[in-house]
Amino acid sequence: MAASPDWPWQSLAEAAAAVKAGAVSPMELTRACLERIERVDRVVHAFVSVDAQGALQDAAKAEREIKAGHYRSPLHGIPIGLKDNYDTTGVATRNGSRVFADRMPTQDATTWARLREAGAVLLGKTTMSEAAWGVDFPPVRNPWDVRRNPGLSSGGSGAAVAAGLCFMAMGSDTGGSIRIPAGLSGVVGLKATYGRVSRAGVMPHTWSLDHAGPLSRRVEDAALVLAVIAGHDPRDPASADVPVGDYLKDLKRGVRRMRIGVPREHFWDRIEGRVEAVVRQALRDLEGAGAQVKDVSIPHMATALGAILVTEMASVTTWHDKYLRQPERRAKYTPEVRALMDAGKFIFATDFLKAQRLRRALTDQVRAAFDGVDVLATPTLPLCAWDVSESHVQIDGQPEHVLHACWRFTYPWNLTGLPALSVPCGFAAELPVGLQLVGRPFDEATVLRVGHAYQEATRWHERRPPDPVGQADARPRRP
Amino acid sequence: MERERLAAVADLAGYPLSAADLAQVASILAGITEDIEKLRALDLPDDLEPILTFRVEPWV
Repeated sequence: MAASPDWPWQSLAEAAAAVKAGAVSPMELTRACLERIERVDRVVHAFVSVDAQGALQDAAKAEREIKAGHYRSPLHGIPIGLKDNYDTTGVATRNGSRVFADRMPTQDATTWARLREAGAVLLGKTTMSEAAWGVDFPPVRNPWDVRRNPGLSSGGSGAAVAAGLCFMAMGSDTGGSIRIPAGLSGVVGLKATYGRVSRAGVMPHTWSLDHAGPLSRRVEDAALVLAVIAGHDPRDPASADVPVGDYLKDLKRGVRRMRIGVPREHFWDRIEGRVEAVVRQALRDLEGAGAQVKDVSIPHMATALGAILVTEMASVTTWHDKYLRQPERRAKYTPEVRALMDAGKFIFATDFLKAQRLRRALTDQVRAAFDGVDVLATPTLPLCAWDVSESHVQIDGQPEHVLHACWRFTYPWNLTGLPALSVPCGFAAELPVGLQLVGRPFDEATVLRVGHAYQEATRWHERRPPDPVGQADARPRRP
Repeated sequence: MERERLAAVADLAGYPLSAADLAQVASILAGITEDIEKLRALDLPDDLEPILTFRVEPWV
């Protein structure tokens, strides 16, 4: 079968089935993605580097293996992207920063090693904000409206999937940076339980909050990827030695009689009315599919922002301190990120420890909220994608910094380490809106099951963004 | 937070910063003070210990 221009829009699961059946080859898929990157990415800027030759070589190898009967997994021969903070042997890993411009890893991140072993084809590294911090850099654009931001540090991964440039891209999530770009760019983003997916070889941001995970077009795709990357890793001190379940076994069982809790506090405060309306409808859709929806209470949610702020600021600064102390390296950080890191030096130890006490209290309250429900559901964000020129947005008539606004609904699940999934749940003024589903520790299977049932009931994920190149007011620029 | 006051703290703490850097840091700290004040004001039980090594365990 000749490479179809539609192949990059198929889900990973569909592409995998076609590869296994011989209906399309890894070379055809890889060429289709590379052609689309060549045409579209000069506007979207989702990839910071593309290794076309390496990708084609890997695709050819996958093709030979599959023809010889050595089919490895549903990832075999599937073109993917990796965020620029995933170590890749012999391929520069820059953490989105000039400070690490010449950094050449000598060992693969565990997640990439597992994906590669499963047969995935690496197209390139996706663009990220500097050291996963700040909003000024880079100029990744949202495929749904190229004047708008696609999300924070994993914005390149979200934009790459949303623009049909690859079948899946890995991101990292410290306060929401997988789920935020997923919500803003209309794709699926999965942050599994803290410790479920190895962080070894993913450049650290905040040790106790960092998660690695996939962005994809369908929940089923995320389940396929998680099946490959989940599991204990001695290289990661936080890796959990907890048995990995079968994420596909119950995926399609639906939500009849499942109980969905909706927190009363925090998640409905200062939210754009158009976003709330879409998410409330999504909850009704889940009820329509047979789920029971009920209110739950988590009082500490309302005061947890200070806890993640001091945890993250102190941790980022601690990791980067040795570079900040070197004048030549210090000068290479962008002023905005350098200032954030300098500010981390003024976080008091007493506040840091209070934050860690609050994490314990918050986790206890969340656990109590799960008594009688299978998952929690919230909006992923309180707003839609904002214009790239904006540093502040108006929500409920109040100005708020975009960094402050965009992670309000996602960071609680980094503080508690619970699995959280963002699923596209509709549009407000032609911009995507995300529904966030949260599960008990290591119960990714239930979160994925609810997300899959929602996608089967609604099919928002089948909509495609308008051609970025054709968007008349596209103003591509490189820093 | 005023830059001059922060400069004194920075010097005492052994983190001397340029005037330009101090101005940016002061602006950032001013932007998060309200949230940190809320954290400080939170009344937590006396026997609640901080999580010093964050790990997630299955709930039983």
